[in-house]
Amino acid sequence: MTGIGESVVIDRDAFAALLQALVDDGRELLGPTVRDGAIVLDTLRGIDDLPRGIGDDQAPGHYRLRARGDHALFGYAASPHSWKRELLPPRVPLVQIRRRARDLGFEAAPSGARRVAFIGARACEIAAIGIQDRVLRDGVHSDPDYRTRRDQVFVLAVHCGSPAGTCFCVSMDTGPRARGGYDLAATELVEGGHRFVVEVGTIAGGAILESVTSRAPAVHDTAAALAVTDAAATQMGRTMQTQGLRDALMANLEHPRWQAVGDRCLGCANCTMSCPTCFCTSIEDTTDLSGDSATRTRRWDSCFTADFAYVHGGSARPSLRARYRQWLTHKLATWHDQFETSGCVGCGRCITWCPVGIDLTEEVAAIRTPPPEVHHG
Amino acid sequence: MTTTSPYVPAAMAIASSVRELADVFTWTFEVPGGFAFKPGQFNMLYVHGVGEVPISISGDPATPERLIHTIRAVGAVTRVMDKLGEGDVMGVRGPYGSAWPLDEAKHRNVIVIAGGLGLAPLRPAILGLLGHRADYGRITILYGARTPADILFRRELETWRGRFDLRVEAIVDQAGRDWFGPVGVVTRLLDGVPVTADDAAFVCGPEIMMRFAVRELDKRGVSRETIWISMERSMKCGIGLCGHCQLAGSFMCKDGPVYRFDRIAPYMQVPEL
Amino acid sequence: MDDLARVLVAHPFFAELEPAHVTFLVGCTKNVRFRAGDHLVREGDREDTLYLIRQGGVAIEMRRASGEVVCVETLGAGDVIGISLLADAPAHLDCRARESVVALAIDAACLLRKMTEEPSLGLPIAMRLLERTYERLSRARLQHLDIYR
Repeated sequence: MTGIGESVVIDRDAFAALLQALVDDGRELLGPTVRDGAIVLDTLRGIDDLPRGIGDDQAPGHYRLRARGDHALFGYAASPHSWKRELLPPRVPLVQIRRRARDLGFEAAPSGARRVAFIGARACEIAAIGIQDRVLRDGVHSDPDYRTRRDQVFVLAVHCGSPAGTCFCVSMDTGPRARGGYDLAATELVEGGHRFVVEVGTIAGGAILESVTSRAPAVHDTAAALAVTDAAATQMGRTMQTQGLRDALMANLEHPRWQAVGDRCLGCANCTMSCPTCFCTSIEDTTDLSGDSATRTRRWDSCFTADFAYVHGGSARPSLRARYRQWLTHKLATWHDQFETSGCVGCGRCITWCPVGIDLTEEVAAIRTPPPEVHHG
Repeated sequence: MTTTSPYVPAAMAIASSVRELADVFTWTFEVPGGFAFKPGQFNMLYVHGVGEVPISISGDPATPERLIHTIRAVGAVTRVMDKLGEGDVMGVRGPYGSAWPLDEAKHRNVIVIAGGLGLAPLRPAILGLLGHRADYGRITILYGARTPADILFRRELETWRGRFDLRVEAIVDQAGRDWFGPVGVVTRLLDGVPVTADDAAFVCGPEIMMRFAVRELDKRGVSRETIWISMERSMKCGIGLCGHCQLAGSFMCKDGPVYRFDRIAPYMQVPEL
Repeated sequence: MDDLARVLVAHPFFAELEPAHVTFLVGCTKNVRFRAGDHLVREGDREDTLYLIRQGGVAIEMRRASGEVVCVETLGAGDVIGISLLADAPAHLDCRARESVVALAIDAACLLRKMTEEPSLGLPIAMRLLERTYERLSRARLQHLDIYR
């Protein structure tokens, strides 16, 4: 069996067989597929559901698919979805409550976790999963549903070859090559024969690879694979200066730029929904018609909503200026205080999916610049 | 019931419900094994089908067989709670949060400043101080309310006032002719009591009140490293996973609600943070 | 220094002022007593006296149309009543002794004359009245906010 850290080369048919092997292992395949003019993450039946020959153009508030003119299966960057749709789903029942006379019975709701394989997880996405692990699984209190789902995931990563205009994983030191967090990691090579250089990350990864035809990588395979990610690293659409970023933001909480971005922000929460590390949720209560049966459900929430920080008397953050500031300073500054990492992986989703095209890399650069002196005439 | 999910509450029946003020009531639960908690901590209380809210524990940590909460009917869930009573079953999760540091206040004079309902989260601390009276110097309780009819735990305050080893003063914002005590803001009471720079202070009440109380303590030389306040923010999960209670880098359900003032001061000074 | 001068100099309102300056005011000053229920000031009075409370509590009150009397603040030893003397406006509120009150009553016209004659006395006193007024305003605003809601 191919050992951890070792690589093999498989062709396109073998890749299809690899996916089938995962299905045969009792796993549901989740991965990128084209729907409604976007590449979304959904259940895959096999290799044919992958976005063959499709690329993406991403810019602030702009997302379009285009034909690449080749047969690449992973020739695009971040989807509007992220893996948090599976690990931290938008709605999860937490507790079932049954009332009998005046008595109440509480029971943890069964987890909807299933054995899945993430197909085509990118380095930035794997980094995001690692960040959410620290928040939701590894703290003093742990979310049982997240933990259960997390344990049932097989990760087939893909090292990036086609970054988009809003990508900045290099600045955040999260990509384009994944550094761990995967069972298998593939680099897709299209030139000189459609094939994949696949690295083994875990014993489970090695085991799945056993049932698939492969050969040892030649020198040119390895070189070509490295060249893909080396090239990708030079094609970042954006950069963010992270040195001293936490302190720079916390020292400028009253910078005039916050008002400027607050004036543009609609509070639509697209950024928080598409962000792979945003984890804020709320808990909702519903009952059946008789009132005897109730459910507590966890659902996605966003710090951009008006009553997110409700204190009696009103919101603690009534203005959009304050809410944008909360989001950005949490993501890039106070996250460090809480979890000892940045909250951002540089995937660019928040930039692409903002309807007014707010670019956090631009906001950060502006806030790091001292505001002009106000002169009193 | 045993469960590994931190979201699942324990079922507890209200043993008694007592009206304190027009919109404030106190529930007592009987917990045979004892519900251990530290003064300042809170529970998430669940009302069937309606919702869950964080409520400070207002009982005596030394008698954990009786779990006590004092609640004001001010929102959707608490207004429903106001209509419930003896025998009704609630969900209880906790205790959560940080505590009034009775240990750090040892061998110091302690000034307790409470406003309105803020006396409820301080009550366990006061009982803790009185339960180990010899460990502390002067103990002073200063309480402010809107009018005499709004004085919380009035009988207990008057009983404490009767002790020789304790100073208790109460003041109201306004009163009629039938009130013979002082009228004014709660910090006026500091004018009439000895305050020394080494004193420890526990302050709890609306945020504005806590801010100006700390300012008055500052003026009298009390260090911000020996002033503790208790804050409030929206909470959904109570366990640091939902994100609602954050104030800058702090999760109020874990790092608070009791904070040493110097640690939280920079964040309180930024409007809408 | 005679007794009245000593008492005047010792009042917290004059803390850290030159005793010699303070005794300049002795001629304007009397020691007065009020019984419980007496009014020091009534609404509408043109205040002609500045009272420096030495002992006893005073209630600042307003009377509603219904006849109900609301106390908005209590003052005591160390406090000053009659600050609006400088603004030459009638009193807005009643000030009633809640118990026996002992105070230094300083005649307003005499005080203003002496303050004008002796600027080294006049300016500090004016600043202190301003300070006390500001503190009173600050407290009133906080009470007005109904913060315990």
